[in-house]
Amino acid sequence: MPWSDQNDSNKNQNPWGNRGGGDQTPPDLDEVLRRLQERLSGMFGGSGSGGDGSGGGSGLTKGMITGVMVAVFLLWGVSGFYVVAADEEAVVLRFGKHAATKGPGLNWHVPYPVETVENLPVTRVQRLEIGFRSFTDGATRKRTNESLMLTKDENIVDISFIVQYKIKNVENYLFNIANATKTVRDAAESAIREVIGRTSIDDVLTTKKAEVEVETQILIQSILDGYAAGISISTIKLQDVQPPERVIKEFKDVASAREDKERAKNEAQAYANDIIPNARGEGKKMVLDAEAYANEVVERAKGEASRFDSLLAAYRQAPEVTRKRLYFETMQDVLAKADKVIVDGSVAKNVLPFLPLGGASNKVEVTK
Amino acid sequence: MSPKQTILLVVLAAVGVILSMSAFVVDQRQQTLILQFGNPKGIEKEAGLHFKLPWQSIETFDSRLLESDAPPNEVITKDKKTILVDNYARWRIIDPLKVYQVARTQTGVASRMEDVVRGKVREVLGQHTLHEIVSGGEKANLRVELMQSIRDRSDKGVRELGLEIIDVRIKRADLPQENSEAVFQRMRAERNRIAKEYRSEGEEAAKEIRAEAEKKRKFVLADAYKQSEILRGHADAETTAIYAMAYEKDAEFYGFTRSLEAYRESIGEGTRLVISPDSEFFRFFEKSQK
Repeated sequence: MPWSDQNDSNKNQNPWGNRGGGDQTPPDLDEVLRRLQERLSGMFGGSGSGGDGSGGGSGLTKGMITGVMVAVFLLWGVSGFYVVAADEEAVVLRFGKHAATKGPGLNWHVPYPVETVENLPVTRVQRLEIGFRSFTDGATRKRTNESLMLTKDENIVDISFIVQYKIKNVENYLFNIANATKTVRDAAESAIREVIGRTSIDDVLTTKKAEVEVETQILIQSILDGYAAGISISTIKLQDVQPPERVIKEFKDVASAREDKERAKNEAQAYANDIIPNARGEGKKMVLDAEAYANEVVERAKGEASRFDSLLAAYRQAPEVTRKRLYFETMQDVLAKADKVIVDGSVAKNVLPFLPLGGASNKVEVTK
Repeated sequence: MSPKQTILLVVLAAVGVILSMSAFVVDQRQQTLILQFGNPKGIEKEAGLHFKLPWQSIETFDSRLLESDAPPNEVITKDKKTILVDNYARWRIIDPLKVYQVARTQTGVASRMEDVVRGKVREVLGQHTLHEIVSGGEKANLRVELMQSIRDRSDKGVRELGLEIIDVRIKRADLPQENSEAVFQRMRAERNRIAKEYRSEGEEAAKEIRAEAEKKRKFVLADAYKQSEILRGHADAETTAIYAMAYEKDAEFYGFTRSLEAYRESIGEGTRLVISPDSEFFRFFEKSQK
């Protein structure tokens, strides 16, 4: 505001004047302008002409006043420079009204109070933790008042997640909502509870995590769009989904029961895999044995038949002699091995009952 | 100082003072109420540089969507149970004049608004049972309906404060401590049941698999037995035919040789024979001539 600056320079005039050496009379406006011109040309020429000019005290004072005015003006002008970082956009407000949006780099605006600048991290992805907070040393702490929520089947589940968001519309982001972070946080907390409230605990804990993420993201986005917040949700990432601490033991037992079930099945399957091939092997052995038997008996029969044929042919050449020979040869072999008791037919009836039939006494030979 | 200079100075100073007292800036995020000795004279919502009479003052209000996150609120449900409801609201000042009249400041009106919302939350949730609020009961999106209804009623309620309510959302509807304990108990029981179910299902499946395997084994063995018996039978038949064909050529001689063979096989060491010397073998035993 030009007038206020003029006010300032007017106020400043007296102290400077006093210090300059006693001339209380302020210069008239024409004089001021002339002096200003002189001073400027003098400044460019080298040493100030006002300093070694013939005007003495009065000239010096006037020179200093204009010098100060110029310096103040320049300083004010310089204060309008500002830097916009690579991931930012700057919104220039002229008397509080959105006048321009500037990209990264060095920029200048008409200094305060005419224009002000708000730098907004437009392309930066901002991160919000819900259900926990992580600290700079890497530690995290649970926030159970945020993370515990009820499922559709009235179980309690412990969920923490991360919301990542970006500024979608600078105008809306800056002018439509107060406290963007809190807006996103509130929407996220409300949305996840709504989504979890529609899902059963088993689904949440096992198969439907991705669906919960997607549904929550869509819901948060629609809430924020309802506020025309100018924010776009990039991702929802579920960090930790688990049963509450108080019942975690029982949940783990269910998991181990599920494993027990699989184990029982696998063991049974292993048993089956053991006995069935075994049985098949055994069966094949039975069949092969039978085949071997069949072959054996048939071949033996054939052999024996052939032997008989041959023998019969030879026998027919000389039946009487062959018959006798066969008989005696056989009997010789048989009787050679066996214990023999030769009893005459007439005494046989009397003796036989008394013969020692046990094996104790051998070689009893009774002859007539 | 010449009179000319003095006048100029005075005029300049006066203009400066008057300008600084008359000009005011309305930020795009704000709306301004102009007051003349405490009497509202006008509202300026347009952002930019504006002027007023120097003796008028201004009161500034936010024009953005504002947050309100009151502490959790106890609600008695239809079935006379207590739940802890944590809700938030998003609201906006639409009439700075009314706000100024009822509460003077933004902070003042915010607490009035929170009272209204709290009342409406109680009113709406009080018509439903705990079960319905917590899990929606029969209706899938009852929660959404409830929030909608609270929003509509609250919005109506705060109009006289010069506000509008864009949204009311339930963040949490927690069970009181003793109910949480009951939930945990139920969760434990349920988990135990599921664990048991899994284990018996495992047993069941294992038994079935084993029985099935046994069955298969028996099938395989029975089939093999059948095959082997058939093979043996065929072989036996064939053998019998072969023997019959051979021996039929001279049945008497077969009887003779077979008997001899049988003697050879059956009478071994240790067999005690009681023989009469009358037998053919001993024909020459007692005398050389017959």
